[in-house]
Amino acid sequence: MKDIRKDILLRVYLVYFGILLFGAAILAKAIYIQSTESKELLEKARKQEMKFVTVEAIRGNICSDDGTLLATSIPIFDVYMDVGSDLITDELFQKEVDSLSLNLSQLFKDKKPSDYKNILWEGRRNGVGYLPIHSNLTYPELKQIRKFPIFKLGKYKGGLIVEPQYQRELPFKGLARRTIGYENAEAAEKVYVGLEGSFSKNLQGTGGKRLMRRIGNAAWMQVDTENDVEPQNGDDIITTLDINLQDLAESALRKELIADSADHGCVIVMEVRTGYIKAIVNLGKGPKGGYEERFNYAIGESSEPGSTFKLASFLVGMEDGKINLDQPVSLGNGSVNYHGRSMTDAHRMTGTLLAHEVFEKSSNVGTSKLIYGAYADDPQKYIDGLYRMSINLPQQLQIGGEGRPYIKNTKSKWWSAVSLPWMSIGYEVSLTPLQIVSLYNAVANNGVMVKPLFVKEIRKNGQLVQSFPPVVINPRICSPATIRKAQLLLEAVVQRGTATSLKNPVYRIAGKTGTAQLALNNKGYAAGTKNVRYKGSFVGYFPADNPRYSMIVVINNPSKGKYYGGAVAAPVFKEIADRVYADLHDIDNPPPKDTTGYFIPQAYAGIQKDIEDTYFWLNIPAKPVNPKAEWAVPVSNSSSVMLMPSNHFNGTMPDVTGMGVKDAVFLLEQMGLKVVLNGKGYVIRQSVAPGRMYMKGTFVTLDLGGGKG
Amino acid sequence: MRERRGIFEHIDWWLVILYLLLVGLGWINIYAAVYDINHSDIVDMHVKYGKQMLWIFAAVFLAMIILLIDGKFFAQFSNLIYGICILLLIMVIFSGKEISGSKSWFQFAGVALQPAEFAKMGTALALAKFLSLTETDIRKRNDLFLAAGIILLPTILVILQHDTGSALVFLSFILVLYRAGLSDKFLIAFVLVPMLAVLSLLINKFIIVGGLFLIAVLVFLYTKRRFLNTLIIAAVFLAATGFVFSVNYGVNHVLEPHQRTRINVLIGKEIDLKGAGYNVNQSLIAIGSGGMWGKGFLQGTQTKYNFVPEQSTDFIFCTVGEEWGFLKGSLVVVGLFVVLLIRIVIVAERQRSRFSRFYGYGVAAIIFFHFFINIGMTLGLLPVIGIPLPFFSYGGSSLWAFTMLLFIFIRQDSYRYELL
Repeated sequence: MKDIRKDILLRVYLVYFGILLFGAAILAKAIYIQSTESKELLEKARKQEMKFVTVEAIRGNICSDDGTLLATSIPIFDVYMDVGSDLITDELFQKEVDSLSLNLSQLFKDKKPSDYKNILWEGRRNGVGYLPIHSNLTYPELKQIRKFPIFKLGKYKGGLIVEPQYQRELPFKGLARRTIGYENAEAAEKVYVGLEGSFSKNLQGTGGKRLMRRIGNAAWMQVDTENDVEPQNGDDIITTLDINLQDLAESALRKELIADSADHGCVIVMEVRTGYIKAIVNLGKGPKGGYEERFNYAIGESSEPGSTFKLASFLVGMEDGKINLDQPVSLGNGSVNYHGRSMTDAHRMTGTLLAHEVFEKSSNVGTSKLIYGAYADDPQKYIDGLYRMSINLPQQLQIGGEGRPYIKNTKSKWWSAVSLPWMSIGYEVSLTPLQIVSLYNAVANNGVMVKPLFVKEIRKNGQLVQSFPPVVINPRICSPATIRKAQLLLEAVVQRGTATSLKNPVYRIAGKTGTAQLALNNKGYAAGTKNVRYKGSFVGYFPADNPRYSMIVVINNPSKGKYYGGAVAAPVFKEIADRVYADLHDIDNPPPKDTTGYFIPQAYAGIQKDIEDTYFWLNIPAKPVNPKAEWAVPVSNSSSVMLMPSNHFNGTMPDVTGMGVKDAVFLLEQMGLKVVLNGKGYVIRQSVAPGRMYMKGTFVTLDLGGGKG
Repeated sequence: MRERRGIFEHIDWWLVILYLLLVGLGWINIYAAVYDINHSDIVDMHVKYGKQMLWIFAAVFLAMIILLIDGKFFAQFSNLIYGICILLLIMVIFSGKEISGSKSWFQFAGVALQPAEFAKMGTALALAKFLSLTETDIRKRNDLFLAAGIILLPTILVILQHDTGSALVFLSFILVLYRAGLSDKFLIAFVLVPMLAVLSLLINKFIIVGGLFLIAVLVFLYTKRRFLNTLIIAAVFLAATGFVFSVNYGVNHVLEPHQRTRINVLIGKEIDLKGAGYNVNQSLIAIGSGGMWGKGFLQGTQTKYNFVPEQSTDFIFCTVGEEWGFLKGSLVVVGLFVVLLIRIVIVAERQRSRFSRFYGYGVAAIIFFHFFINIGMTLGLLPVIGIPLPFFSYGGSSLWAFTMLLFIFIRQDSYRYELL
């Protein structure tokens, strides 16, 4: 009995002891965590409450020469839901989840309402704070989704998380797409082609850093700190492209490619004096049969130019005094044999032609005889002549992927006895369409060879960062006398040679046709066989008496029977040239202007200092009524401008009508208002009337209009 | 028999005050954990602290009713209450509502009830009733099996609901059996077996078997070399070896992957800060960042911003640690629980009725198990087992069940004077 009592007492004491022991164990662990490890854990806690997020810089725009957007970044949105948030009550969730699912399903049409409901419920059950709802929403879609049940309660109470992204958009879709460039989707990293690629450094800007503090389940708030690095948005690239001309050139080329069922083709339009590329079209047959911008043939495809190269031969010959345009050239029976290899003309010509007729009619036999006769003893002299015109040098273009020019040297191991005659008619050499048009452009530009330019300016927020003035590659490719003769030769081709289809009574075109047989890989030329492939081209400039533009049109492998440059390429040239000339005529002959009146340009309301500066540079007297006012409204009479102070900071809504968009948005956003823009131009209406009291965060809609903005 | 003049007569105020303190502190911490500036009203039914306030009122009401009930009632109807609990446990398997993986909830008029919480009380009553019978002797094998049966039946039903955490709680009843005279060997086995299990997961199983063999040889050398002794030593050695292998097999092949990861994370074999280790890591950060003095009421960013999951239910202790620190938080709460448990045992020991005493031990065992496992889990001492902190955690079921559990005991205690 005593033993049992003792045993029980022992057991009870053991129970007390056990409770105290386990309690002590817990306290020991707690004090260890809360004292010894406390500092380290506090640091960890601080760290996970704060985070740096990178703020993506907005990629700059690519614009045409007049500022029209060719490529721009538009925001798209990824939407998540903090579906597990405690702030979304169970009652609300249960009540609204059906209609939210239905709305989502109706908007995106990708899942059934029941699927959405399942996803939402599962996320809810698991307390998911970052449930992906949908990605790549457009702004209108986002506006819609913000009105959905639950979501309409906003970021915290509705759990709607919106993350903006930027997507590249080409407003003109396929137009000049290969030259403007795009992100190569097949590459693993972000690789851009075209101007997007070569100016990527300027376009991309630099990303920023922002310190965020967690303020809820999945909500982060920006913390004001000096460590924040604002993103520097990318610079804008102002190209030389003329969007109207580009459009015109593309449709003309496309029409011809379809008519000829050709493999591919390109058009380059270049401004004679500056080398600015006003249009560059590359169309190749796509997998679906249509023509699209797939490869930059114009700058990348180096191939044997054929007859268009005869200009180079004649320039060298004339410059060296070896070719007299009036000298007779015997074509014999229309065929000539060089070291066992015979050369003929496409249209067999016999008898004797004068040297200029050889060029006009594009006789292979005649041209090669002239060059071979002059340089057979010293072929290097002919080569030197070509090199003198810089056509053997790469042009260091602003855009990557330039095809290398190849003008064979006599020292080359590929040099053979037949190289000279065949080079003279544009074989055994290799040039890109852009390199050829540059030579013709130099002739049009009286011997000054300029570098083709695609980009004329880099701008940041409209401010000029860098400009690319014309670059002279070769100030004098040959003597003025030779140039003059060459110009006459090129005009004669149109007047009475192989391109008479371009002859018209209004203006003169100078140029040269080219019809080259294409060498098939390693199989050589398949002349006379069924598989023969041709490249028809026309290169020239206009108006011949005062050249403004040079242009090349190349059609590769037309397969509907006609293939001569004069037949396939010249019509495209003519269509483009006619339209451009019509526009040029308007530019050169502007409507008469009344110069008797003295007129003061009207400025919009804006920052007083800016307005003052502008009028100062225009040499127009502008007097501020209150020199200390920040904002002013210019009021002009016939001879001077008064700057009336505009007091915006008295706590009421300012009058921004008449202001430029930039100033108006700056002013209103600075006051804490949210601005919604509508239209284009300067402000003509504002949704909150001037003088009204306003609340921070109020939306103000500005209707724009009038003028060009 | 004496007349009882009011329901508050002969009540153990120590227990009542401890209860009210824990419930009150629990509510304050729930308020802090889910505090939302838009719903700062304490009775706002949109948020958890508003609801918990309502549950607390209901619990106090429930406690009063229990104090009004006749003292004989619970001993009389303990088997019936147990039977009802078992019935509910069976029903919930078939018609219950699934909440986060466990099919263990009934939904009545917007309130979710978990029968498993009440089954603990039912089992404590039935076990006390059985042990209090004069003919019961726990040292007899048949009675031991019957007692084990009373405990294991609800345990198995709760396991079938995929609520392993609650099922484990029933193991704590071994304390009641121990008080009733269960052999020391069982308690020793109860401590040693889990230790062996942990070791067999940590160390190469062949080394352990080698160690066991060594111990067996030593024991063999230092005991009388009788045939029976040798046989027992050999049998225990073989059983231990089999156990080591089956633990390994069980963990690697029978447990579900998430359970395996939890165990591996706890014993330090795996570091998994995104998955199973995430909860504990966040919990440690929250508690540790509170330091000695805490960050202050409503200043606990770690718990409030949901870095810690389940911060109002299973991980409510994180809010205590973060906002109140060690001295004002952890020490106070752990101290209150220890005082409560010791008070329960003291009160149990002063009972004249065996039923009341055993029931008191049952109450202490359940509260102790919840308290130790829950806080041990938040401190990273024990694996993550989802059971609430008694009186503290958010939730009507658990609060009501614990209130009933404790107040039936308080009622039994006050009844002892009527038993003269």
